[in-house]
Amino acid sequence: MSDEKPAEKPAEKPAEAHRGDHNLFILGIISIVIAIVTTVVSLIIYHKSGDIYLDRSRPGFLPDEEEVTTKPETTYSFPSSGTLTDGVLDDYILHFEEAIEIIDDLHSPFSETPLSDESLGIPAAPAEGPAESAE
Amino acid sequence: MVKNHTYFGRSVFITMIFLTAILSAAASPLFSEKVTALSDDQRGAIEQNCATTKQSLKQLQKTDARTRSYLGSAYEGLLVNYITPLDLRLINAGQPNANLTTIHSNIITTRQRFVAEYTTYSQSLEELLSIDCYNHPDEFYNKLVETRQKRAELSSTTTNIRNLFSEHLTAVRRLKSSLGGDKNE
Repeated sequence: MSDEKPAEKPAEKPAEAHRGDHNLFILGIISIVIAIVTTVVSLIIYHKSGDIYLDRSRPGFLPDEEEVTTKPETTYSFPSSGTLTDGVLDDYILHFEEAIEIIDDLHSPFSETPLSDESLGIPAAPAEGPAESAE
Repeated sequence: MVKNHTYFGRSVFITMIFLTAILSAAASPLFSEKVTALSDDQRGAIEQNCATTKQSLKQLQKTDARTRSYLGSAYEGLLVNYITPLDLRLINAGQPNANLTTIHSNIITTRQRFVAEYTTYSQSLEELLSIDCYNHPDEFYNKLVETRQKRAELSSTTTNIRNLFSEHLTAVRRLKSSLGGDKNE
């Protein structure tokens, strides 16, 4: 006589296990939604605050190779302590003039030319008169 | 189970409404443009040169980013390595110079304005690039005029900062000559 018990039918998952699976699924979905929302919000803030325009690490705006390899020319820094004499100020003026040349190297930054009608191939506006109606 | 489904559906619905509200708020400026009338010649030229114009504007966007970075570092360098230490040194020496302090604070304010104006200008340029100049030449031109104005303001601010640096130099020369009378090294 064997003690074998009659084969049992595979037990169905209890209701609690079902609920656990379901909750896990919901947790996954909610996490994804939260991740999407926070990413969208941070991108909007990044864009709206204008930081995007100051960020040169975004694709298409990375510094050119020559910009990266060029070392800063001056490392002079005026000491913030010590006595102030004629000679010290002479030295200051000399270095300051050199540093200002860096700015002067750029001739008329943000000039009007690149956005002018002429540069963009747009003919001059007709003389003032009754405006043509737009279609 | 049914209760869970209802709850889940409601959460997704609320999230979707929230997302839609955020996206529409972000996109609203794109739909609030006024369109001005152009002559037929101008309209034709914009439509015809649309691709070339966009290409030049994209190039300009890159050049401007480079210029902004270059000028930004130069302004920062002058403030950090020269102007601020000189002011501190004068204060430490018990000889604060009101004129130099005023110029210093004007430089800081103008530099902040430069950053703000650059941001507004870049935003305008990007909006200009997003307009379909082939199908909406009037809208494109309108935005171009607005972008030009912002660029002109930015250009004027860079001139102001440069003038303030010159003023600073003049003030230092004046300070030197006033010191020269008392002590010569």
